[in-house]
Amino acid sequence: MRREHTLPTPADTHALGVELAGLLAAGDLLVLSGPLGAGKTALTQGIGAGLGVRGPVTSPTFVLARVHRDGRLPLVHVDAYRLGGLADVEDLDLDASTAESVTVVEWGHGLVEQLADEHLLVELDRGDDGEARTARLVPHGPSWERRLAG
Amino acid sequence: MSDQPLVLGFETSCDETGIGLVRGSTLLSDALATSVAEHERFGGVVPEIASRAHLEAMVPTVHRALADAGVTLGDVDAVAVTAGPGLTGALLVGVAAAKAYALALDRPLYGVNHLAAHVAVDELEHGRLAEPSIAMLVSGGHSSLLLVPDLSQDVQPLGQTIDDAAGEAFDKVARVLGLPFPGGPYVDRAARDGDPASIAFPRGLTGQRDAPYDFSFSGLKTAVARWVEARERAGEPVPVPDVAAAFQEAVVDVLTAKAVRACRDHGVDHLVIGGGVAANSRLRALASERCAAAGIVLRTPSPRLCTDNGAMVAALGSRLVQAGVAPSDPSLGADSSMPIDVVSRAG
Amino acid sequence: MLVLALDTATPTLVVGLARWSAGVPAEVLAETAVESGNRHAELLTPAVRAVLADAGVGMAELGAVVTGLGPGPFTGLRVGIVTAAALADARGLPVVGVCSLDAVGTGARSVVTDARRKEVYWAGYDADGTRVAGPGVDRPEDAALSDPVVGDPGFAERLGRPVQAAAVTTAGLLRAAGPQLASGRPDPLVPLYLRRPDAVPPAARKAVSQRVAGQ
Repeated sequence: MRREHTLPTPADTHALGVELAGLLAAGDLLVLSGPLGAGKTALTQGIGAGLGVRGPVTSPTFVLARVHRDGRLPLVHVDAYRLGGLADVEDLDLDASTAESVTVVEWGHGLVEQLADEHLLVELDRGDDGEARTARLVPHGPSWERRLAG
Repeated sequence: MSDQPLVLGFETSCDETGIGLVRGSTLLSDALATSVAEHERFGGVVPEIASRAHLEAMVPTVHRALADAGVTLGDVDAVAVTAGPGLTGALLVGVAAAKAYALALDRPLYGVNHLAAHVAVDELEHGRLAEPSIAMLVSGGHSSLLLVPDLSQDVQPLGQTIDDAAGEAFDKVARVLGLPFPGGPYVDRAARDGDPASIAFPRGLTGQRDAPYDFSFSGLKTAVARWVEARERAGEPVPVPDVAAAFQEAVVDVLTAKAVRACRDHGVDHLVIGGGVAANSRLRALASERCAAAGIVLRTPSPRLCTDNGAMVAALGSRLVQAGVAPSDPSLGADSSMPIDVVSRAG
Repeated sequence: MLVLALDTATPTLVVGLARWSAGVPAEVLAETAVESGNRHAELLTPAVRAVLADAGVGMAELGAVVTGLGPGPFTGLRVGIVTAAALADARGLPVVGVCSLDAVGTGARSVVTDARRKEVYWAGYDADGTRVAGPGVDRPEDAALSDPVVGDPGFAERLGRPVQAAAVTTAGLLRAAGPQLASGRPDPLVPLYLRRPDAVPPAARKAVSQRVAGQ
């Protein structure tokens, strides 16, 4: 899978999420970074669609974490914007479910990597105008290196 | 009056510890402890801080509510608590407390939906809800349009946000504009000195083929961020009142248009708006203007009751008791993603 | 006096009913330990109901409530403390909080329980059972332990010494609560979080769109 992606429309961001979903296994941690409006929720919606989870994947900002079930794997969608550190992640009781689920954390860079031994960092960005977005996949750990190379 | 049930309500879904007492549909007391000041410096609610504050405030707030209402725990006929949606850790403090009070007092317990409670609270001020009504719930975590044939057991979702909630958009735009948290009241205030027509921000999901009752505020939020960044890059001052007014207008324009349309499409002539964003002055003004033009009776709780509180939970609990709805099982837990069509956790 | 004791500081919630009088070991009349993981809120009040029914005791016969104050994972810990506080408040009873580690094992020992994040909650006790070190939260190898070590045996390998399995018990909770029950003037319930909320205010920034997460 390519590391660098140009995403002209939200549909392309969604499609990248669907493609990523195909690589995912239980226990995986994805950390999404990028400014407001870079497509983090859109990418997660694609991942949810790829996993076949039930219900709309909307911003988890209010509840901080939402679990979507009934897909190939449960999807735990976290917005870490308001999480100050690991104590708050613990407060969500996510530790219990990370092993069986795919955990996608928005705004989690530098904060939640310890939830798993390896993770995939997805750096999203947007231009100054228009719909175009970019994505860069940064593997952290040997299994992610392998999966992206394959 | 005393043959009507006295209900003790617990609300801890976010950063307010709310304890309310309602008899029938009469508001007796509404005690609130808030940790908002502690969250302000973080620009958002920090769950662990909120949960710690709920625990500290719980018993004293219950007693404040009892004293204000002039009743004792022994007078309570039923206990109601927000079971979801909300922050898991915060919800659990209220759920555990309510379960313990219900057990110790040997009274039935009702685990209720926070969103339905935001609708029920209006009955404390404006009497029994006309059924069916259309309800629009707009808050930091929710933007939903509902058809309400029976508030005690039949609430049907018509549409909701597909990305960010309306209140969340207010919070995020407030951050972009350097305004404090929570963003709603500050944006509302700043907007009073601004020109809503000065900047044309996008109205999400308003095309012919878009879902008529769904909302999208993510694109609007991004458009505001971009507009402000472009100004800053050009070294020009950001006209905060104009940006606030134009952004707010875009939000309330879409909300009110879709709410009125839901009423028209379903042949319903009553609209109730609840949730924290319902305290927004421009939303209230535009909604009453458009409802009047469409022949719709508009009901909005007073701003004090629009934000989270315990009375709304007690109000819904009272409705459930009077409708003979089954109480919740002793194994009730918290459900951070409780679906809107589940009014209460029965059996 | 009949005392209801409960603890939710570990993944196993404990509820017990005991007859207590000053100066003698409490007599445990009924007790249950439920492997409830993170479902303390669901299972605690049903467990209280079951223990009372098991002992044939009504809520009105209770004289006091005892609760563990942790240390333990925060969310579950609060469920036990707020439940004890509310039960006691509703019945007009005193509520006594104790360090949950004090209720694990007996005599001279160190106690370790799981603090998550690969750390342990720990405390040390002398031959009289008096706490002389801790409670603390540390990486296992940094905790000031002395043998015998009891508590969560999952840490034996990390510690390089045996850890005898032991858990919070009703007898232990009552033993720890003894002085406060005897005085009749219990201390306010203050949870033993040991960790502060890690949240740090975000550094001043020009625009939210440039926020670097993790600041």
